[in-house]
Amino acid sequence: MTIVEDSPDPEPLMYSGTSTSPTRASTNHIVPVQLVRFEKTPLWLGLRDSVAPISFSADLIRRAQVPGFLSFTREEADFFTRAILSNSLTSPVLAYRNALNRFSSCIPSRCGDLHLEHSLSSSAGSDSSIASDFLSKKKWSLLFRPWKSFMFSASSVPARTSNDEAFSAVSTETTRRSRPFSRPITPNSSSRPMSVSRSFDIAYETLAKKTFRMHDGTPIDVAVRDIARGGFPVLLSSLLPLCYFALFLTQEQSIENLVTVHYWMMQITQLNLEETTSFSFFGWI
Amino acid sequence: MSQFHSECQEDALASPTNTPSQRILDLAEDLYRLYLGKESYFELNVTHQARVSVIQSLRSGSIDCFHPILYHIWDLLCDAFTRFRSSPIWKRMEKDLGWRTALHSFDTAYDILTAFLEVVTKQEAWAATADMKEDVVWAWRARLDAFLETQLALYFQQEDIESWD
Repeated sequence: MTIVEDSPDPEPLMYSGTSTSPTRASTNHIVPVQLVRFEKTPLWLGLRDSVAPISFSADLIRRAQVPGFLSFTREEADFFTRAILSNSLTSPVLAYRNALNRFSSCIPSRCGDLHLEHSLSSSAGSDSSIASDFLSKKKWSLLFRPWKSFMFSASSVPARTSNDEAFSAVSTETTRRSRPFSRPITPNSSSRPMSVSRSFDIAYETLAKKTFRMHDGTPIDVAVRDIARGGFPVLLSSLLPLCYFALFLTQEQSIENLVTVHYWMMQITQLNLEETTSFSFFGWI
Repeated sequence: MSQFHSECQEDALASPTNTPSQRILDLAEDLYRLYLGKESYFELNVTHQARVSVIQSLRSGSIDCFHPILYHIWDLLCDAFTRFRSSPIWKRMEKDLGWRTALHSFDTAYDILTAFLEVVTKQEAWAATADMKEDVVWAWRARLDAFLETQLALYFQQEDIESWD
């Protein structure tokens, strides 16, 4: 039996001095104090416009005195970078996938008897355990609200009522109709255009309805049109277009950065492969 | 990387001075070896200037050198995206996926996999002639496999479900 020693590291660190040298511990961590004028865009816009310099001054710019609505603490800036990297603000697809992973135990099943029991208990007016387990449609829509209410927190447009509320309003006839029956339904192109938050709202509702109607586990991807408009951050949240981008990068022999950023992104959003693939509606059958 | 960030925050809270502790310095050195060391398994594709700036700041005892690397990588990827927009692969993507289609089938994902196989076999043949380290090549092949699996697993899972009938 032979004992093979570990060979020394063939590529030692380039800088002299090992990690146990007392000199490094004694050197102070000096932060040069100087006032930097805020010339660049703020951090989370600068990411997109790619103006951030490769220097320590990037941190100083962040900590420098800037107008109040642009100043970020370090934690806030890191939150924005994480949010943009994970695309939870810009992409409803990833946010929806995250929510599915988090709340997969709350997804209503397709079994008819359970639904029947739920409706019976609600008509009787008592709270059963099954009724408390499943989320109502309103609560389910509220789950996906934070990402857009965060973006457009100052919006004056009220959110559309859920289908349950609309149905109950129609059935009880308690509210006044905004449109008389005599007037036909026409697109209001003459009035002012639809607000951004409203269009986001509609797009997201349709997206959620589509996912629930398909029931076959088909993932919803980001369209090429949206990538052409939104650029690289939107591309990062897509499934198949990102593979084409990776193909392009392998031909260029520079795939390393993309794979690493993707890996960090999954670490940040805690999207493990098992969680992603173990979900399907057929699991409840 | 995020773990390193949280460790640094804890260390900054614990230490009375602004000096990072020895443990944090060791962690920074490990990060350097992992992501920026020559022929490491997780080596990043950054400029020599950025690498030298990291080395210099590590020598001076500061650990604030990794955050600029993130911006640098992001910039490089944005530049690559602009090149990607004008490349023939973008046109091929438009042709395969459509302009505003959000639902794709198993066959589309399978075509992408075959295209990857062609490119990767070429690259491996080149790596054999270029006398690269085998384990480095295998490490990158494995990471690419993991990347493709996270992107395409849902489509293949869908195909498995259909074959039950």
